[in-house]
Amino acid sequence: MNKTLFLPLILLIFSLYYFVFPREGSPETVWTAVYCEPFADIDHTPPPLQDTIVINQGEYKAVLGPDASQNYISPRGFRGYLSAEHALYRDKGTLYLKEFGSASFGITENGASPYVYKDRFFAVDYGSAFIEEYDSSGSILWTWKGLAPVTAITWNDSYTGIGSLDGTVRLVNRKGEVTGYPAFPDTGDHIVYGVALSDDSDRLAVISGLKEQYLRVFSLSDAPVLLDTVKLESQYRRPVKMFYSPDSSFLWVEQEGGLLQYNDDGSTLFLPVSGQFLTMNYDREQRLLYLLSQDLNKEGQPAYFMLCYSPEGTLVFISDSDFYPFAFHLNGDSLLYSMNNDILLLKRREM
Amino acid sequence: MNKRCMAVLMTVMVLPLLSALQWPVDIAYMKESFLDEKSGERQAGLSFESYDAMRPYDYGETVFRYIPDVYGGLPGSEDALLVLEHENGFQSIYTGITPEEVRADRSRISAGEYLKAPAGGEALHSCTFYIRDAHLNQLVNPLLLLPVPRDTVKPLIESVILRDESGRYELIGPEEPVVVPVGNYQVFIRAVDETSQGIRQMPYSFALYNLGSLLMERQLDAVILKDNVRSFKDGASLNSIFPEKETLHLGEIILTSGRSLLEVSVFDVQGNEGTRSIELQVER
Repeated sequence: MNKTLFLPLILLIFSLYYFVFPREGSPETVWTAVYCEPFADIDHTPPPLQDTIVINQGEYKAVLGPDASQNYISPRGFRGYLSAEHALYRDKGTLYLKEFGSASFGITENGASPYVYKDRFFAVDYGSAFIEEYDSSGSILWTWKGLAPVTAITWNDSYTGIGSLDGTVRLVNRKGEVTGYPAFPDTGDHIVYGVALSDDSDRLAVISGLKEQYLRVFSLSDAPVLLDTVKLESQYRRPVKMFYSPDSSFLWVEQEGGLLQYNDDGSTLFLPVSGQFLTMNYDREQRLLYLLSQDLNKEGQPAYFMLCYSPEGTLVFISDSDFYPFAFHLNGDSLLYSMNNDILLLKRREM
Repeated sequence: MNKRCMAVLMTVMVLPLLSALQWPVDIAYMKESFLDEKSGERQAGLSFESYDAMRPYDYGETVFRYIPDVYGGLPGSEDALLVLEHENGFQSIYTGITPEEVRADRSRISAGEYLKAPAGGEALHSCTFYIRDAHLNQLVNPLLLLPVPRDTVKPLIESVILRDESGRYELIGPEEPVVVPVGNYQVFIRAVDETSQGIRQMPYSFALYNLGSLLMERQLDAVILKDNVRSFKDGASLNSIFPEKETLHLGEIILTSGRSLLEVSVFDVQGNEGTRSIELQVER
């Protein structure tokens, strides 16, 4: 056959093939901004939210939900924490609890700072190793006074996990009963830098050490069992952020320049981010991780990056902003985000 | 003398000055001392208010730092925190310092560097300083380690309280012998130490003698954690030892019939002693 006819013939065959058997592309996932409003004006145009969201970061604290009449926006510069129905704040050394629609009342004068985890109310003073929990009526549920400063902390619905300078992790249940877990069973440097507790309280992960640092994963189901020990390359001198997925199948540990994912089978995966990792959200239904990080842009100015990964390590998209994102929440199939105190709702769609 | 000898001599003379421990904040700004009451709690460190500058008490390696942040690892906290480890096995803990200084990310900090600069920056109204013995896992009375300013003021014993199930005797003495019934009594001492700078604090040690024999004593030297409760090294909890402000529970004595001469001796960390003698007539 004439060689000059060979190439056109090949192209013709392929064209006919795809004409007869067209290839169906998989749906493409895109995120579109469906709502953007300054925080201060949010009462006038309630965001189209599927679930109630509590925003405890930024100049405005807020409880936003599908029913706009139930929304609560704090005064600007409010220094306190919100739950779906309460506000906990300190004023001149006194801790006040307020149920929305009711008057505030003072509950203690211990000088500690307020903190709210979901519907649990705390006074925390990490330097003095002091933590106290209150119920929604302001009564003390338990008080813990340690000796060495708190260097890492985590919560789930049942426990408060406290990592300490003395190398011990203590789990305090809602009755105030304390169980201690020495993170460093051998002699050596004793400092806990990170702690994570799974939602079902079955898994406990601890980063500890000083010159040599280790990640240890415990199973707490019956008697505590050390499942895995991983020596880290890190030299942490600050609290390390750690997160369990809701089903405990993934553990994410903050690293320099990224997030290390430990899978339940013991394998690991590194998810790089731009600059310093800030926080993350995990969409369990869609199996997507949203990571927030901070870096300098090309002009040398601070910039903030949102990256979306699959748990297999595929980078789905990356977006950057010049403004510090105070809010970063999942809401149904949307991502609530703030830029310079403007609320932005990104909705995921398939095309 | 040659130059080498001069250099060695200068090093020997200057080194102790460079390595000398120092107050992180001038003592004039101290508000509460070791085991003084603050917001209803006995605090195991020194707290300062309206201070001008802050430095580490000795050079050391940074082993922990925290800067409050929206996405910080210690949510809820508004205080920056710094922990230095020193070569003698002690750790010094600083809260309430400026975030800029914590953020400076220095692995080693010399005693001459500022943790809170004397001018500019945000005016922080309070900070707390602790010294921790990392090997024994206890918080140590910083006054035992810091250079003590000259002080000749003796601690003042305000009263001695004997308490049993049926009554309470607050004894001031010296006076006519007080008549008390025989029995077991809990002994409480109300005492305060006022320094030459006018700072009121708890004295360092307390002792009780009866007719010259030492019955019991307590030193405020360190605090440990026992069964998740802050305690002294003998296991007595802080709450049991300090039932009221400026009052220390020393222990239980048994008074038998006859004459008793109780002598209470209280020392401050400088070694100044305050004493009080109380004569008792114990009757059946």
